[in-house]
Amino acid sequence: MNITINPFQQLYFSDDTQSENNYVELFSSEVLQTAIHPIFQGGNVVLSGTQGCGKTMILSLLRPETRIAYWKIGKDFPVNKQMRNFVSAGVNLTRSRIADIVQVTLHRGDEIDERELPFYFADFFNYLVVDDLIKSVETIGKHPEIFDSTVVLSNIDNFVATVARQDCWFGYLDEISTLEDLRRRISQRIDFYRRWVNGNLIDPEPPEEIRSTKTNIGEPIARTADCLREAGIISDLVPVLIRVDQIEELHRAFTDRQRKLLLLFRKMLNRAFASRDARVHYRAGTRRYGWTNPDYLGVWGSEARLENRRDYHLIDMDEELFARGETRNSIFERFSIDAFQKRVEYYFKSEAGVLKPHLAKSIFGKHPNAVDRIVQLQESKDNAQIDRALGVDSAADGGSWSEDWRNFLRNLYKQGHEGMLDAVLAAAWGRQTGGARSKRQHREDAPPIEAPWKERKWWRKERLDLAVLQLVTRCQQRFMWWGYDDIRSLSGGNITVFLHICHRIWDGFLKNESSLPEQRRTNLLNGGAIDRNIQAAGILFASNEWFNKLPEEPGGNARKNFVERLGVRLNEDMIKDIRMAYPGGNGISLAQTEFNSEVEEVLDLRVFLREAVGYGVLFESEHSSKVKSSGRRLKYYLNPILCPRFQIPEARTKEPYYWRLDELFDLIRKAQITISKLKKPMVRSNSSLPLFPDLDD
Amino acid sequence: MKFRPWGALEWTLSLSPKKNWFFLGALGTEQRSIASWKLLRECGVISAELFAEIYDVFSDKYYHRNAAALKERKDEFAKLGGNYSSIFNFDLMSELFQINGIANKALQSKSVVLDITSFPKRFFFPILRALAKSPTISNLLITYTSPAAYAEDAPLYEDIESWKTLPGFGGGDSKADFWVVSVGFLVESLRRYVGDNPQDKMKLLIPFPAPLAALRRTWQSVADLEQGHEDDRFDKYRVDTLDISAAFDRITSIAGMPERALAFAPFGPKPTSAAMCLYAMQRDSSVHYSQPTVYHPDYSKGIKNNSLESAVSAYWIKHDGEFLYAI
Repeated sequence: MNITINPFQQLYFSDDTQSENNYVELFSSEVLQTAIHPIFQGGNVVLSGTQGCGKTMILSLLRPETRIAYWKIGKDFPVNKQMRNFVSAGVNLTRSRIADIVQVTLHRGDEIDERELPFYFADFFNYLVVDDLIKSVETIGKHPEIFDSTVVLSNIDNFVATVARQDCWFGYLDEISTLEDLRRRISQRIDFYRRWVNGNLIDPEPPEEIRSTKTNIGEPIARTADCLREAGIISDLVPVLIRVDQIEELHRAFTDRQRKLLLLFRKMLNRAFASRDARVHYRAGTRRYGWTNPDYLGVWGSEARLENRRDYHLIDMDEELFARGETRNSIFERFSIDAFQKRVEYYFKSEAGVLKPHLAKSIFGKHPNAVDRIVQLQESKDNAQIDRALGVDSAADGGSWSEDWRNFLRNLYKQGHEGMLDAVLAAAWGRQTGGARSKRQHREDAPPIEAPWKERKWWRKERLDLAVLQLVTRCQQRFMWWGYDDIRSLSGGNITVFLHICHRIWDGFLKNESSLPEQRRTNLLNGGAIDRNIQAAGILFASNEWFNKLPEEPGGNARKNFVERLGVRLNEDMIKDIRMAYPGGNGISLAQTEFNSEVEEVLDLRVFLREAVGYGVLFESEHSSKVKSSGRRLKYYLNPILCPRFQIPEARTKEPYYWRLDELFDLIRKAQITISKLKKPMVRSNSSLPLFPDLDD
Repeated sequence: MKFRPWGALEWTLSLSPKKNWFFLGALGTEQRSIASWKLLRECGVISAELFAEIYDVFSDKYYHRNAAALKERKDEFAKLGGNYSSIFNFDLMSELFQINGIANKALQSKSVVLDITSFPKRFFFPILRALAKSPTISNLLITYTSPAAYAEDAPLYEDIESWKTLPGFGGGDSKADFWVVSVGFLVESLRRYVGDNPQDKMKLLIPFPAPLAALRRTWQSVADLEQGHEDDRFDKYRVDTLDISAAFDRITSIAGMPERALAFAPFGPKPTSAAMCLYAMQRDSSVHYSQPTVYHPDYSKGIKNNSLESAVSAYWIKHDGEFLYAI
């Protein structure tokens, strides 16, 4: 087996034209059918999810270049045959720099900018999409061997004449007679916007030709689609699907002006969705925070907001498709196994031969049980050492234990690794009272003849991870993760995290292999497995690396500081919880009544936490309070990939810690985290520079 | 290769008859932010001045330290005879039209000094372009002050924005043949870009010679960037930290003949970034950067050798109407 190849080296594949071959080889088409299907049907669809969950890969299926790539290597396009006849065009809000319209002004004050710049945004959007639509139609039309008769280019002049006549252009396309003219005219318009946002206009305002021909959002796109049908270039049955990717880009604002304008641009874009125009269907890709905030769903020129099911169909890839954070998750399991298999097949090609199915499971092996996780601990006969391991020495809660209990626990501990685990659980049970009203701890009585910590199935199951954590920590060891199920669980339903862990484990494997003589090396392609210590080290490395990568995302330092504080705090609290009263203490829960307050500080906190969830740093879910009539609460957990770094078991069992908002604010203050980016408390002793001061002088 | 004079400020000024200069600079927390102005003032050649006081995005962590450092700098400015009315406020994330307003203020002058020392790149790129392209400005001098040291106790900046083009430097439609990347102390977002775009070839401009401490951090950045990628993706070129002219020549030689399209990522020293700007503005190249939103209050400490004369470098960009960096 080639020990220089790591098939997980490259985590992301962008949607540019150079990556199409990789795409075809690596895309897990079968598994993602649940998300793929609605994309090719009628109506507007919004794909939401954290970075790396696969949104862009799914939207890329709409690009004709992707289908051509499938054809070139003789692979079947992974879309149902009845749904393949479509035409698509799109805009990536980051790459197109359309949001840079916020960088310009009309030089007549903020009010005029707020009133008029959204129309220029709409116009820029329309021309970008129409330009791409025409390019897509031409690409499809030139490849009938791939696209059959989806597009017939024979009547193109008729199309050009019809489209130029449309009143939606307000005369801008008058005089156009050929496709070449049409392309050039549209390109001139786009070029104007590029020059404007680059600050290259000599005049302070756009020229009259642009000012008087601003188009309404979506209308030229729909008319172009109509004209394509009217000219017979596409049939009435061919849907026109418009991609709008990276919508969250419209919500990175640092000044009040930017915030207001970008929100207005967003409302303008929403208007295209709200029109529910049967001529075209929109396909949006966004991170969660770009869609979940109700403020972002307003519609330009109306009091209405976009509504799921009425205006669009939302597919939350994290929650619906991959059931992020759930223990059992069949789609993600199949997805991860398939992605693993495809990577190995692709990078090892002929060497791979016929690979065993479910290679990930055979290479990473079985999921460890609690006893497996502590086998690295040395068995001990020394009572002082045992007391320390059980937390019953004088440094812990010593003195409260009768000699009977101490001997009982020590004897348990001496019965191998299973006994060690039992002893930790028995000590915790001894500290409990057995009921909320009772004040008498079990250890005040003699040790029981039965073993309730063993026989009460759920009590034990819920505390196993915590018992392992406390035991290994007191023995100066680390909680370790390995095996396919652990890796899947730490991936938190995100394929990029899964591949990242695989990358680091494979790296560790290759390093180890290169130090071995050839005859002692393992062939992973032929039934070999990776040693669990290598896996555990790779997982810890991947966790630390993921943590250190947090600042690579906007606002990432603040989230990194927050995670650091929260992670350390949760670990400390879990270690200190010697009664094991909160086995679910790897997260926190906040009352919604407090969390939904309109107090400014709480509003800022909400935005901060929502963004943290949107960036995949935290996981959030609703739950009922354990106290009756206390209303709904929100639970927050660290992304599981961060758990190895902070030594927190990732499984969600029982209730998390109940926190008041004060406790959260206290943690934030101690970490010196700024949760609002719009505060400007610095005293500004100087004036702002007037625009064009030389003209004013 | 064209001779483009640069060196110690007084020597550089002495190459041309005495002029009255309009001074544009940024007054910041760093001691070096007003060093060039101070030296020019001692030479008695400043006729008017404008300082931008640029506020980072609010940060609980650095608010008090920033406020104290700014007050100290402004007190020093006033003590040296500076006038508060020449200082104007800007948000770090100001829009392009506001940034261009700074350049507009100088467009009526014949001779302009642009001190890039404390200007963030998103400011000095559009300003330098506007000044260099202005037909009214015949003489344009860039100044840059080297510090004694950079902060070692914490990252130089935090909370970076996503990978975007600098305001006004979005470039054209075509994809670049090569990336020209100047390497600095921190490369997080660049590393991400490199990882996500495995086909792109990178030409790394590495500051050398450079102070030993800076050298160590820069090479660490190069190692971080290259880790896990094939060697043939990166070509390394050493460029003098302070030499705008040599950096510009290196860039034109990378573009080659026939000229290839370049895209830039200025993560390194400011003089190298200025060279990138002077090239990009003539070829409509895109310039990509991940803008930090919070800078360390002690981003740099002191001035090099504790001597204005050796710390401040000056570069002729336009002289008597001749643009010295024309491609």
